[in-house]
Amino acid sequence: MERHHITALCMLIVIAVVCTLAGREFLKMYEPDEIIPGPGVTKVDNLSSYSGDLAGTISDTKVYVLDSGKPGATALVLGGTHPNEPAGFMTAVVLTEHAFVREGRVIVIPQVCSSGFTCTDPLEGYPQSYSIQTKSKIRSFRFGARGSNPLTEWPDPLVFLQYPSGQQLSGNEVRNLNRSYPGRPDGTVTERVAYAVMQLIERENVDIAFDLHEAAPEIPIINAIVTHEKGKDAAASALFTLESENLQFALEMSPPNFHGLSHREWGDRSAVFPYLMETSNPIQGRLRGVTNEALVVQGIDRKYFEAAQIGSMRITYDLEGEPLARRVGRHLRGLQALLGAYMESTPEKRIVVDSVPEYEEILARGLGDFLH
Amino acid sequence: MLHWTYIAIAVFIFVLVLRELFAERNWRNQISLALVLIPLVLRILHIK
Repeated sequence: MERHHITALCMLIVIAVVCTLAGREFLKMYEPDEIIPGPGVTKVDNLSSYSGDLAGTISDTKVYVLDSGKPGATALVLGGTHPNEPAGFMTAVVLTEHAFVREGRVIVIPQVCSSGFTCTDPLEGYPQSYSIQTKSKIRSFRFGARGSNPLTEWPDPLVFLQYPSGQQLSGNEVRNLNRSYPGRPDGTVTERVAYAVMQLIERENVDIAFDLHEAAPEIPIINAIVTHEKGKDAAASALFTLESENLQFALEMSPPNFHGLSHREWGDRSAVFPYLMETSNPIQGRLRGVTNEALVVQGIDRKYFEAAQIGSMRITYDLEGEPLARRVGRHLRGLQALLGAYMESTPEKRIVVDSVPEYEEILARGLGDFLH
Repeated sequence: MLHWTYIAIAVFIFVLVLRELFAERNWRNQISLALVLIPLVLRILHIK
């Protein structure tokens, strides 16, 4: 055997070791997050119940039903549409583990884009997980990617033609659940998830629905409620309530010609009142420095503080940052205010959710206090 | 179908690069080829 063959064999051994070590780390992302249903959960179902093709795939996900047993409205809460936006996911987890519905019914899907929780976005340097200290233990949750895992529908097209509008978007948006509504049963994996959500809305007669998101601190649509035309009165009423509590939210109208978004397609194609809420998430921003678990949970980044100092930010940003607890608190308070405003506009359909932590309470006690 | 076509292409490229790895006499160039092989292995095995 010649010398270069021996070095080639050594290289193969190194490749095997690197692939094994890296593969083990990557495969850890397939281990599901622990979500412990609280006393308010009356039924746990799967999204595949609404579109059978998802059964047994990494795109199937748990659906938690919190039913008061009393007549009233049905609300749907989606977290994890974009798995790299942890406040939406954690808000849904807090509701699942802590909330109790006194009138009406709440359906929660904490990880609606579940395949997106099995990977992170390339070139972003995101951590694979983050930890939160609860009363009893330290719990770890996956930090995922913006879209579905590319392995579920690789390769991406050069141009994504949104169904059924034909709207053209960049190719990687084909895996963005919030560009894929209303979806179709025989489409891409992401379109099938979108279709299942639409089926759930129809079959469960959902009256009001929330899609919980986050965005980079420098973009205009943060700390905002995005509403379909039919929900704007209730949204405006909720905004007054929130302003009176010194919580600033911007009201954004859903663009009529921007297709595939939850607040557009749910509203156009069903009877539901759809709302999308955004908080400010420094780890998604382009100005960010060290990109680690602390930035996910504490949301402190010096560069955003400097940007705020020179007036380049629309929101206030101080050295306390934008911690995850505050972002979850904003989502929860916004959700409660919108439910209240909805009940004012349709008094015959009541929905009352108890045991939801107040904004100040979650800031004072921390997020972990409201998790098992 | 397109997915599996791309996997087949990845396997084909993997075999080509592997042959180059054993044909290459300069160990520095062998390292470059090894670095190409790692993501191909992870993609073919559906890990990443």
